[in-house]
Amino acid sequence: MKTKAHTPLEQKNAHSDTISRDLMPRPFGRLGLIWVASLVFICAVGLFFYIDQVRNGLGITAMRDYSTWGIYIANFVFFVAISLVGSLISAILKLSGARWRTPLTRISEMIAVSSIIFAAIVIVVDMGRPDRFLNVVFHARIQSPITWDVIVISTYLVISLLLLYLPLIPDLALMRDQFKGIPGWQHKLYKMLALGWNNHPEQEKILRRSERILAILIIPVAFGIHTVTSWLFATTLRPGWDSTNFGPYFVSGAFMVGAGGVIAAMYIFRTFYKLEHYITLKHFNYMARLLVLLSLVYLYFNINEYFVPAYKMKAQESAHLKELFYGSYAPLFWGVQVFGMIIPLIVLLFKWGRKPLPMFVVSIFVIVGAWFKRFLIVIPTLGHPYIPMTRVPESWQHYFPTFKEWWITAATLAGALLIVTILTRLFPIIPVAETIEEAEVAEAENRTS
Amino acid sequence: MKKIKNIRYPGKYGLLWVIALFCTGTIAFAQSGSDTTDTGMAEVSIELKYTEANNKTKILEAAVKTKVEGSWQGANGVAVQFYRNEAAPEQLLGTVTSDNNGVARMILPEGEEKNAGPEYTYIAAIKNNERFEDTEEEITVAESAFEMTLVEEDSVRQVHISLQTSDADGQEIPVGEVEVSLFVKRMFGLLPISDDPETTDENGEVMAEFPADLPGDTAGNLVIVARIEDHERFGNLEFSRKINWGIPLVIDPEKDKRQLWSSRANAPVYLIVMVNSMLVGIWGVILYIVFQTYKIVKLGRSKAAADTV
Amino acid sequence: MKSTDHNDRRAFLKKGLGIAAVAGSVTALQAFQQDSVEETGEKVRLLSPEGEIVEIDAGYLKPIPEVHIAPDQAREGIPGRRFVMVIDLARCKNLRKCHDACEKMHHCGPEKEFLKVLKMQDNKLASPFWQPTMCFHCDEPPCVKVCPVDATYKRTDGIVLIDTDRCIGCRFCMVACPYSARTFDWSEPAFPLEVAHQHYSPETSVPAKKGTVSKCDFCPDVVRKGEMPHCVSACPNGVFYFGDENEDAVSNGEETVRLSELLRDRAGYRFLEDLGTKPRVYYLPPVNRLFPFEDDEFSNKTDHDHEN
Repeated sequence: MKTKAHTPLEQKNAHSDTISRDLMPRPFGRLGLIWVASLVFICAVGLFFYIDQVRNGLGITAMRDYSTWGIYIANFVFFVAISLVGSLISAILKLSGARWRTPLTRISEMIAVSSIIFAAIVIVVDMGRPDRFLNVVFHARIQSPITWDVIVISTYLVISLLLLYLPLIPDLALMRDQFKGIPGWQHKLYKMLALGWNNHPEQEKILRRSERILAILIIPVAFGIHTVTSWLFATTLRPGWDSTNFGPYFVSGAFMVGAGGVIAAMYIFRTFYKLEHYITLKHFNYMARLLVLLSLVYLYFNINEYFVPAYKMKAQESAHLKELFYGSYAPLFWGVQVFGMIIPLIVLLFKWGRKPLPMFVVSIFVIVGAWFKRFLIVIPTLGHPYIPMTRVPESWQHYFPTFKEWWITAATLAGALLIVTILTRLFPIIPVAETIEEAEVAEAENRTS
Repeated sequence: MKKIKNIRYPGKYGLLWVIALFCTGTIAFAQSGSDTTDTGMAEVSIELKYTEANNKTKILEAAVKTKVEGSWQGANGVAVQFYRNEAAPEQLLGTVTSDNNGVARMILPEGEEKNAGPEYTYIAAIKNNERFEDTEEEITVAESAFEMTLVEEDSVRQVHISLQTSDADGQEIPVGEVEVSLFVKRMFGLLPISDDPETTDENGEVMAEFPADLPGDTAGNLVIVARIEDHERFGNLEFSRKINWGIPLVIDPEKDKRQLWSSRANAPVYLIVMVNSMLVGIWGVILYIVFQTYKIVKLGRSKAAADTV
Repeated sequence: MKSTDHNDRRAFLKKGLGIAAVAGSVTALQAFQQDSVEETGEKVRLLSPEGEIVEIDAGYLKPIPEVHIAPDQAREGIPGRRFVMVIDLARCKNLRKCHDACEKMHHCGPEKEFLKVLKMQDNKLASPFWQPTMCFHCDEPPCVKVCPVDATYKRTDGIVLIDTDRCIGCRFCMVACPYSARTFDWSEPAFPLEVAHQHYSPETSVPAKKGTVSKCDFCPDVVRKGEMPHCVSACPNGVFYFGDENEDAVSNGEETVRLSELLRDRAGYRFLEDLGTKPRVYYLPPVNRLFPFEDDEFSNKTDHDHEN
């Protein structure tokens, strides 16, 4: 901002005009409309099935007394995991002074907000008595990890919303002032949300300070949200979950899938919104390195999580581990480890692998692998209780989700994507004001050197 | 007895469930005349049991059984007439309806039996019942004096039992060679004090040491029961007495009060402090940030105002 | 008094059939005096549990009501009690009478088992045996720890209950229970009409509700009356002992024994003691068995966890 006075006004305006023209949200094209329509369709059918579930009970799922948690919970863990991307990009990278992160912050915050909203929704979907949800507030037992989870999820949601919103304020003001030809309600929305922003230096100072405080604040909360989520499992006595490794294991996995999510989003928005000037090869390269680092950390925790108990082969753990290593879950287990972690790791080591398209493919591997990884964390354990499962129907012993269950799960994923889509329709994907400012700074630096 | 309410359980007094029996002569269990039919009379049996408790309460118990699908089962709601000496109307003691287990129980009127001689005969009968054929069962018991005294000397606790009967002249005679079992009353049954029953000596007496390590209630009270079961002459004799020979039960409501598995009101203090301090800290910062955005709004307004001026 | 054979008394007789609840001591009588009672002037004599005759006014006599313990009251344990169960594995021959009685009294469907009889085998050389399992009413219950809404709770008498009016159906407790003791009503449970209209009490676990968790409750409704849980009284072989740890006595209906002696002499143990949940159910090892082990049609298939 100090450089602002030295920059000729006209030049500044020319720059900022191009940037804002490029980055302003624009109406959906044909493809966009089809995309939105499909998401809405999936959500609507999912809602229909969910109403069926509310009426007839969780019996419409494949969950039963032994496999009492299923893909709803796995999906919940996945949402919580991917929501950590927000704190990774907008907090950790910000505090570590990685300037290249600027165009990625908005995308990652949008993903964070939508997935944390759906994490909360999925938990309600999994409840036997959603009508009693408020018991969680009015009869809260502070001893229960679920209570901690409720607290930390709502806290994280608020901080994520603030982290999405605060940097958006200058952009909202920009859109309020410059965005022509939009419906009246949209203009009103921008005006209302812009909070009367007018680039007052005092305002900028406050905003910067607040962003910085939030960036620091969100890190412990982010670690908290996923650690507490891992405790939903690790605080039980079940073989496979009874692990002190679970907190960092979950957090590292979450950062990894979060980075994968950002890469996928980068590629999609760059391609469809023509943002090659803003999301450049440099960004992909940096994200690739970051993903490699995070994959290595996750690999490390995976080795800890599986090798150590496998070495000991305690009686209760062994049935679970054997089923993962060479039993009925082995194809999925090794598929996830290889495609979701090893192959991305190897591909990204090569220069050609750090190009947008290979990275996009790799990030899809990472995301899908991460989803099934959560499946493998949640489901097989419950198939190996301490007591033998006798006199129960065959289907109770091998949980496989029903069609409705799959669909409801797919609907929550579609819902999260829909929220991201709508947010990008209304707000710039890349922080406009910040990008302008950085461009000016860069230019000023060029000129002085 | 006007209205049967859902009474609140008077738990804090440790409610005891007792067989309550009307001890007055004309027992109010009498059924008014019933319509009887002559057809379909079922086979029925009565097992008559005589129990004398604490040497004064005399109880007749008639277990009414009938054949249901080939096995004998208790028949409830059957009026059983109890008689002394013979089943004649003037000898009727009372009528009791059998309970859900098919047992009709009555306490004999006190005071009448004294001049009746050393042996008594009691009869339980089902007569003119609409479901069952007429049945009678009788039992003869001899007069007895079964007593228990509890003595504590030099911290040795002893249970003294004596069993006497009387001859035709009313002379008391000790009864030897009778097995007496000693118990302590527990919630779901009688706990034997010793492995084997004691036997009365030629003086009709038993001396048994009472164990010092049995728990009692909060006051150390427990109920000691001495029993002679199914004796051919005396029937069942029982003597029970409450005494504070037990180890007092100590209930410490503070023990394990604040644990991870306690109710929400009794959460461990460290947890309350930790969670709330984190909540206050983090939400304090969040509220501060929200307040900051309000400052942005205010600044926007003042600037806008300045611009328009 | 024969002449007083009017309707009120008849109603009383039908309900109580001559058995009324009275207390044997003056203090306990006060409990009754808390209810407003019109004295009738008619004295009746009652037999106290100590075998003593107490004379009280007939007005205090009440038939044993079907005591309905509301969910809030059910959180209080029965005072001064610590219920405990001992299961003698040497006597169990998989008759499943316990299971059937439990299923009948709690109106469980075939897929909902509060009590299971499982074939257990510690290793290949050890002989298999039948083990009834149910909720162990742990003293440090992992299920209660994790409940977010106080729906399941530990009482002072040791019993762990569930209030299905409170339960939100998150099933965390089911996951936390290492003994798989808890069941869930995945769909609307089907009952006969009179069961469906029964007042719900956590002490009876009846009627169950869709979307909530339930489990073995140690039958506190009958225990309050001094009777034993249904599984205990249904077993013809005396496998189950039930009693009050505070009294150091358990009974299987046939015999009453000292708990401490039984556990000491017969090497009583608790299932998966190393998990630290401190169950209130003890097992006596299956030595000197009364019956040889016989497989049933279900047991061959799925006990992979317990064979090496």
